[in-house]
Amino acid sequence: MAADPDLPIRIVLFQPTHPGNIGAAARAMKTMGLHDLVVVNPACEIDDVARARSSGARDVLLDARIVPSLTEAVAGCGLVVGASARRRSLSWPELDPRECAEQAVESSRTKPVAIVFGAERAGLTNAEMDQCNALVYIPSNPDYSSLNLAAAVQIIAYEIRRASNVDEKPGEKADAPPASAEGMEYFYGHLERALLESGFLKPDNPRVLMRRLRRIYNRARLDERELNMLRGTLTALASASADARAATDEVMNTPIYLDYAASTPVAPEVAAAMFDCLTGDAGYGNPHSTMHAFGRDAAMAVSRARAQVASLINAAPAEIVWTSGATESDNLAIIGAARFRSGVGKHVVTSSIEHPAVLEACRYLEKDGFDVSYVECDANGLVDPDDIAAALREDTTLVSVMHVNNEIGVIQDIAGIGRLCRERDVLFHVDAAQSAGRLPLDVVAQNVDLMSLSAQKLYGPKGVGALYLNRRRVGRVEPLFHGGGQERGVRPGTVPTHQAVGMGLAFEIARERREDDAERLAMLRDRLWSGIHAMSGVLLNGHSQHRVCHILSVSVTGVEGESLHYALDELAVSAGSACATATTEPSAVLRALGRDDQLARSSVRFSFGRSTTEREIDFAIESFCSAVEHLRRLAPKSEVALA
Amino acid sequence: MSRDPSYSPAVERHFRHPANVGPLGGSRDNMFTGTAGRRDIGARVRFEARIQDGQISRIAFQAYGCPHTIAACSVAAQGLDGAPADALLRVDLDELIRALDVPVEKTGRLLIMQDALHDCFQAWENRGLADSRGQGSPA
Repeated sequence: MAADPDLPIRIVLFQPTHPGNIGAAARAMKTMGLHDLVVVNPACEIDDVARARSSGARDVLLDARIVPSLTEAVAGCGLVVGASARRRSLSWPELDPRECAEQAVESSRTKPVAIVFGAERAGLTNAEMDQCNALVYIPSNPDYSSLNLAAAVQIIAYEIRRASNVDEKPGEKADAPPASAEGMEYFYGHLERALLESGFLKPDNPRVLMRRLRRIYNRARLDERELNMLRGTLTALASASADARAATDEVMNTPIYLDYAASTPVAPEVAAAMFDCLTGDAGYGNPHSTMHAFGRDAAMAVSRARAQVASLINAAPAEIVWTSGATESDNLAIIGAARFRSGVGKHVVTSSIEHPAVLEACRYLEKDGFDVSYVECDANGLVDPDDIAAALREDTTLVSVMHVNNEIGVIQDIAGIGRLCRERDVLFHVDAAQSAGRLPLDVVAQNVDLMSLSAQKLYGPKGVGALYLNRRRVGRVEPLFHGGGQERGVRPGTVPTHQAVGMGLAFEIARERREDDAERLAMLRDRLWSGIHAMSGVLLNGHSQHRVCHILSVSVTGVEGESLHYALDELAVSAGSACATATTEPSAVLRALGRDDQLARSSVRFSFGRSTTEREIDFAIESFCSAVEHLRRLAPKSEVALA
Repeated sequence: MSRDPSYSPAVERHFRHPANVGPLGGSRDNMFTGTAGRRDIGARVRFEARIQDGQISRIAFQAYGCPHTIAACSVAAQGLDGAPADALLRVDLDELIRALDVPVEKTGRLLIMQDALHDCFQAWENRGLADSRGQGSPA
């Protein structure tokens, strides 16, 4: 059940004449979570009739203040809105109930707000309206516009509740702002090009059709989100038809991108939303400058994005901290949490096959006087929760285990590790850069206290990520940076609005598509594996069942790693992880699985995404097999046999 | 798409379409082999040469190694076809490095190839010595 909005918004009844209306108004307020009732100079008693009509809202009635003047009733208020049953001159800005509520909620963050309702028959005079900053007019049937006072209070109170988002579930999206005129023009341009390309729109006479289509879309009064969705649809259809054309050609466009675990392309809808944010008026204000509309618009966009990210992992929006990416999130989680708790203990547990961002952060802590235990994985790459439990000590404050390994794709039992960490009251950090959008994530059910997320692995932009921070359990973390108090002081620095908007939309799309995407990618992964496994000496890295849908890692015997990768130049794949290829050392993860140096070097990580097609997978199988055969033909027979 | 700058066009050609790839078929008579390197150091090279009357009539290589190793073996073997046997000792590494634009950190791989060529020459010379003990002069 949602809480009350708990906003400093008061309802002022000016000279009401009927006690029943006062009681009913109190009831209307309480049903919507408002409690501050002020009655100015009533022309009646607040009697049993009032009490009876207030029903269960007697507390509101009892607490109501009775004051002699409107001036006193609105004392201390910033925004004062007068409710009017009739339209007036242009002297006061006229708001509809929804606009009134939105402004009231926004303005109540800085100063109390009053909504003033006039007497039943007379309403508010212009002299009383002079004490108001705006008027709210409730549209009604012109032939019978006699709205009851309590009913009017009910309408406004409902809109205030709605605007306060108090009933919004964590992660539920707020209404998107309406599409801008420039946004609509970009869309019409995009639509026209797509229709021309499809042949539906004849280039010799495009105007009539386009005009009619404009009429249809204008009537729909699209919001930004809907506009992005439509543009995304156009882009997807264009790329599907390009795929279909490519499928009929003999030649495949190479190299084929099979490195989605390193980075994904930005989803067209995401790019469109970011573009609009960068070029439109709603995006360039500083989201922390909420004194003016530009800042507030940006803040709203950031807050919507925060909710979208939170929603994918079942967190509350306030628990999401923006960062520059998963590497920063890992550092902030590990160094920040360990240091903040250093008074309790200075021992951290992690696994030996974590991402370098985690391992290096741990090594940094070691230099800083902390103890770190590195738990080994088994030959399948799985970390046993019992081994984690065995590594815990009295002074352990933090455990960090990644959900899906970025090199081999195995899935760790984070729910099991989370449970034992909670039992032992140790914080649990999970790097979920590879699992977000591919596996179900629920920080509550999985007992996760800190979770690192990345946009660029999930069709969002590079340069932005997030850290989930369970405020109740973690409290604070020591910030890595120092500056303004943004992100509640945990991560100072201006939030890049367009990046946050991109990540938010990418995560919302991922939430909608996760199951379908995962099913299709697992099918492609299995198709590739059965194709290349038909050849001897191709070994699967990592557990055969506990693995994510989009990563397949293999080691190949009898071929040298560098040559294998050079021979695979038609496939954009990784050797181990992209993060490790800057060095010439073989992958530590593959060594941990028991692969020798040469097998670790001759490993290939294929990773797939939304644009990967079955035809590309078949091409990859052919290309991979012919590269391996070529190199094995060149190698001395003893090497091929020995390996 | 941009090409990988780590490999010169010459390396690319010899890697994709290497010349003189072994093993040599046919009779083992007058066939001499030389090997060097190990799999665990990332390069193993084997040459087979048919040498008659002090002349290399046919030479082929097999290599487990990086693209530079494979390309260097291909270029070297191609140049040795028809050469006198002692040319096995005189393959000019500096010229190979220049021709293939081999980075300095890979010169060790070319030394493995050179060792295999020397080993091949040694095999031929050893046979000659053995033969001379039995039948007279080697070639």
